[in-house]
Amino acid sequence: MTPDTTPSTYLQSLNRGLHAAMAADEAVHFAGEDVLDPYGGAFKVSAGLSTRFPDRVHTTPISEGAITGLASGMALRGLKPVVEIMFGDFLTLTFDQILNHAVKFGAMYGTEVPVPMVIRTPMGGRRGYGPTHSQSIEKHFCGIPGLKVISPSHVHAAGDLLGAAIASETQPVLFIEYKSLYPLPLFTGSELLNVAPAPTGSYATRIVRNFETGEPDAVLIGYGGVAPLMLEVAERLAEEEINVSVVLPAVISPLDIAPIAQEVACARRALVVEEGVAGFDWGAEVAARLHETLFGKLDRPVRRLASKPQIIPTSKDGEAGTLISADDIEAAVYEELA
Amino acid sequence: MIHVMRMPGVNANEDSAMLVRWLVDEGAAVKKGQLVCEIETTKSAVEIEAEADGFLVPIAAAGASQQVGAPIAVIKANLADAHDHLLGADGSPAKEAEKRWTKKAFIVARRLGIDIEALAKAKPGATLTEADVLAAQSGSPAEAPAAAPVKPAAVCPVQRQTAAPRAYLGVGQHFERVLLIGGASGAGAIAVEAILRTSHQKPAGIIDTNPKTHGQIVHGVPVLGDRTAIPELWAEGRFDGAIILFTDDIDDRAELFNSLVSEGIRMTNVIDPSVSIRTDVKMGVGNAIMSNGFLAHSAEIGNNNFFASHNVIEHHSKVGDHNAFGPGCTACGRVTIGSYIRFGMHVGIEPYLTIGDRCIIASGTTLTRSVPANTIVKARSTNEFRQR
Repeated sequence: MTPDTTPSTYLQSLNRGLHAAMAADEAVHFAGEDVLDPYGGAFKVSAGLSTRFPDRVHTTPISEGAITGLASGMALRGLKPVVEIMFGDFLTLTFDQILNHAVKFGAMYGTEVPVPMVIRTPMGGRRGYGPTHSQSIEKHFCGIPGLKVISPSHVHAAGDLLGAAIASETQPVLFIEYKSLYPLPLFTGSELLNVAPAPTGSYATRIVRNFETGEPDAVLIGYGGVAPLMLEVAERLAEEEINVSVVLPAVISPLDIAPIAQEVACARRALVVEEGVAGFDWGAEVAARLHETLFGKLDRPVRRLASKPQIIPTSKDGEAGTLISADDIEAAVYEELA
Repeated sequence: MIHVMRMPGVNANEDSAMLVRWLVDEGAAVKKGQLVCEIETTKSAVEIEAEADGFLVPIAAAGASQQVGAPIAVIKANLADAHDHLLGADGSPAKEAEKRWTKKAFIVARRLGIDIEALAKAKPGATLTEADVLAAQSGSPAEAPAAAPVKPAAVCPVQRQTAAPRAYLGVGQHFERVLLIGGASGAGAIAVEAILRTSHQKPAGIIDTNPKTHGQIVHGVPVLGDRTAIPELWAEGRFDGAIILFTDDIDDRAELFNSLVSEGIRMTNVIDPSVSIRTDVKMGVGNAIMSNGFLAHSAEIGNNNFFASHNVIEHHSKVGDHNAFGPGCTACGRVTIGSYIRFGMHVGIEPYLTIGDRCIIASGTTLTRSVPANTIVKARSTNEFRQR
């Protein structure tokens, strides 16, 4: 896989990643609703694919369950299917095909049977799409044995990650993109923030710090669409001499707690942020794992921050009041440090 | 009349648009309906019409993206006025308040028990940093002339007051300044301490009826006069919210609260950081909740209540307005408490009961049935004393 070298947006990076993956391997097929050019998918992530690879891009009827089942079959027969689900909210219709079929095939037909399929979908709100097109429901797919859930932030080379998942994974992958990240340029650092070195093109957890030397006062942990909020807070806190590390894992399930715990061990105070609704959330898993790993070594309990457990309103103001915001995160950091 | 033109929302899915170019020169005379600029979203390019007759002065530069609703130009009958209007056109804050210390400096000072106000006074004009505070702690006399130790901050989360503007949240120079009415009392002492233990409030001054206290410093806070001084202090911007702390005259307390609210004076809540507030609690304003209170899930508190220490309002219980609770009262689940009620100390209320308005409940009472309005409840058991 050729790594991204030109500056691009999160969306362009994903589009390039798809193009590169399809060019590199004829086994890669792409299926989804309204994915043919000139429309190129609801969010244009698949733009240009059907023109360039007309035999391997399949536009499908509106049946997420059927598309996912189709992909499982293709994967079992030696292809590498990539499925686009138009809105993450519609993943509910794929749940049976994932939980009771795709992730079971390896055990059903013997562990040698690979099921290399990637289901990718945009999550999240902040675009006024209302209750059923704005949710972040990936927590319901976390913790399924045999399913890897990946959700890159805009600090990751998103397209490289997608390419790596398509090329290298041998069991099903759920790839969660965030609509709010699509227009953002990939983040490589700013005047106040620096991205810690990490190997490119991998799933490595990224760490962004608002200080050059010294230790963090607090660690912010999150993934996907909350990354820009956390970076904004880190910039605000830099002006207040408060050191924070923003830790961004890409693989959110199963969770590798080691790189997160390492940073938290220095700060002894941590906050987990997510756009999904509060309660039985991803942050609960992170908090529990951190407490297991760092028992007795934290100054404060790990703090969970999530969107309000409510239906997301369509009105912009109502939506903004429901979803987690940078102000919420900033206020929580001060509370943890007070 | 000045007309401010704002970036229109032409695409429901985007909250910003690119201003591609201006079609008229700065200061040009324009007619309502004349095309003045071109904007572009990801879906379309649109020409924008002048919204009024007059002289147009662009605010937004061509080639830059603007938020929907952001001012892009002003149109004014008189050209000179149009220029003058530029500064405040979007209602943005004219000038940021002087930053006296970083939030980290504030936090470290609290942890070390250093009076950062005194440090800041010694260094007028400077923004105190963490290093300044650490230097003061190591005893450098030039840095810390009057650094009096204060009690360390409570190690517990600050209660979020959703009614307060964002600027008050957090630590540092953005405090909510609280005026304590009846604050020279004992209740004032514990309220001042509660405020000092939060990281988002500080006392602005005390109002008290006792003329002997006027001009004095009580509980470390200046007494600014009696209640006739409040409207002027508010008009001068001397405080951000007020709280009533006297409980001896409930009717007076209610009347004062209502008159302050009707005058547009903002009432606030003062909540000791040791108070535990659980989920879905609703609260009005003007409530003082002292140390170790507990508001359980879905409790509802009205306005202008005073809770002494160790009050427990259990889940789904409702409290009306203008009540005074002595220390250690407990309302079990789903209790309904009316308004204008005085509770002694250690009053217990069994679940599902209703306490009517204007009751007086004696200390040590355990209520096992509902109390109609205007009732005085005496405690049956009294202490018997006899010689050993």
